[in-house]
Amino acid sequence: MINRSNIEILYKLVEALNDAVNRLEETQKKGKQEEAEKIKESILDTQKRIGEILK
Amino acid sequence: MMGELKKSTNKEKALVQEINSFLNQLYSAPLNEQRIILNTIISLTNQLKIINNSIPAFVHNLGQGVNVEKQRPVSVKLNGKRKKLVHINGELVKKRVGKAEKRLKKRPEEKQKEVGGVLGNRIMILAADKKRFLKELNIAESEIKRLKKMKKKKKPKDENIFKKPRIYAKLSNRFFFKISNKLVDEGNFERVGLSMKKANMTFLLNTYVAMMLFYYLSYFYSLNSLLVFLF
Repeated sequence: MINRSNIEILYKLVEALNDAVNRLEETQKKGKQEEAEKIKESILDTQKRIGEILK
Repeated sequence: MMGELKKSTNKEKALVQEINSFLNQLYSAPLNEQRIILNTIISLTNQLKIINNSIPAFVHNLGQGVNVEKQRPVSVKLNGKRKKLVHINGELVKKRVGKAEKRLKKRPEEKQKEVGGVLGNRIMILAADKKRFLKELNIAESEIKRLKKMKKKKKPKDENIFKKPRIYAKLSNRFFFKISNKLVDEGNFERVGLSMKKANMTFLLNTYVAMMLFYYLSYFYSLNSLLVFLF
């Protein structure tokens, strides 16, 4: 359950997710495949952490 | 696909902000409102969970659509004919985007559906979660409406407490504030003050005394002017 103490962490994680998606878009436009894969991994990792807080 | 992923993450951000504002309201709200706020927070959290769960499927499907155009074609002999193919995730497929996407069709559990009223605000979630998401959306909306109704009902009471000062009281305070303060401080109107409390009057004792003085002054002035006018 979300409470006052973990809402800030959640917000930071969601912001990080947002940034990562924007970065992914840029790298894909440039055609940098390896970098894009790394960003994808970080997106998945952040998504997992968000999911853990929401449990 | 990238656009949808962006919309989903933006929606997540908006949901967290909304949850945060409800959490701030929760502790200062009265008991009956607290229950509604708590229900809203729970349904918003469930929406957040559903959107968050759909993100891996997006990310896995992302590369497939984009790389098709970027890859250099390789000419390969197939059944005696030369065909131009591209590498996608280790597979050689035809360069045409439509067919390549068909070949790399998503798994049934990862099929996604669009949900949302306005076309511009559409977000993508897993098909299996569609019903649950709509249910949570309805719960959150109805609870927010209930909360707004309750707050609307409360507002008139607050307006009654903080009334604007009357012009008469303002004028009398301007002329007799110092004198009335002095008189009250000396303890001349203690009984009047008690009676005012019992009568539940909205004036301060000082203002009431200033009004009394202003009334007598204006009465004598008008009487005086009337006498001058008559004789």
